[in-house]
Amino acid sequence: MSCPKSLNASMVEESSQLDAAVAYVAEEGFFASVEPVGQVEWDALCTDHDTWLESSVRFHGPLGGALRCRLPLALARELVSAFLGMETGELPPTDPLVQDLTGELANMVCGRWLTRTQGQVFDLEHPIVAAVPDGRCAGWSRYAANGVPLAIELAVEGR
Amino acid sequence: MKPLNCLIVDDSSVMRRMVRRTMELSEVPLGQVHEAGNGREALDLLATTTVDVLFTDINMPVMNGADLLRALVKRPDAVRARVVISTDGSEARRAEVVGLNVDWYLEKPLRPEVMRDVLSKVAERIHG
Repeated sequence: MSCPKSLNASMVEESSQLDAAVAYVAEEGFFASVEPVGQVEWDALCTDHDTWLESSVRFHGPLGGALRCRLPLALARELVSAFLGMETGELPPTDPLVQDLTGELANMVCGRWLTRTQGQVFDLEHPIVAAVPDGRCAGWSRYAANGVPLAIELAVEGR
Repeated sequence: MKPLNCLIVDDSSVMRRMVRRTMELSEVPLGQVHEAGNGREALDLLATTTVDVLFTDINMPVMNGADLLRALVKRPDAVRARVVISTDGSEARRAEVVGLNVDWYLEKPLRPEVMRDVLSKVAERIHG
């Protein structure tokens, strides 16, 4: 399977739509405030986190590609807890809901972006979630979600 | 008002929890809230029970939401109201479920006020 290329700088409009999709999902789904951040702020945000998760969703249709989300375990726990009305500490880090949430975050951002930019039928594969060693993600779109780092990469095949 | 019996169909456990949570926040009286992980599990459950409202995702393994709704066209009494909740809000995807007796098509993430509106309308329709 070939690795799709990352969006390049000429795709500013689609990148802007990605920002909008991330903000919509975070705010409407998880009551989280999201802002794009630059490299310096990103590096500062990452220093407090040593356990990270990454989810990826592949999509097929008029376009093929994949969307990946990378976030600290702490943010995944916070988002689940906020939505379910729990204290963050109530939810064990190993609770399956944390991994499930990480996958659904990628799924919803991907679905929102495809709906708003393409408007055609796509099939989304089941999200895959894995632990990753750190938050390094050169070229990804980077955000602060409730002051916690969140990175997204959108890759479209053939670009 | 008589409580509404509901069925949530989604392959994601966290999404089922989220839908259930928005239902609880709606303050519409709820009866039994069943869950199923795909269309096949939902049909198995509906073989022995009926529900007032079905909430189903579209993109699921084993049996997707469109096939579930298609199977339920032949069983109009099994479910009183049918609601799709999907990440795909495109007109093209919505068109795929036209003719399958879908009452509402909602996009994820689901706002609590949207759920409240839907459940209130279902309750009005059923109980007058």
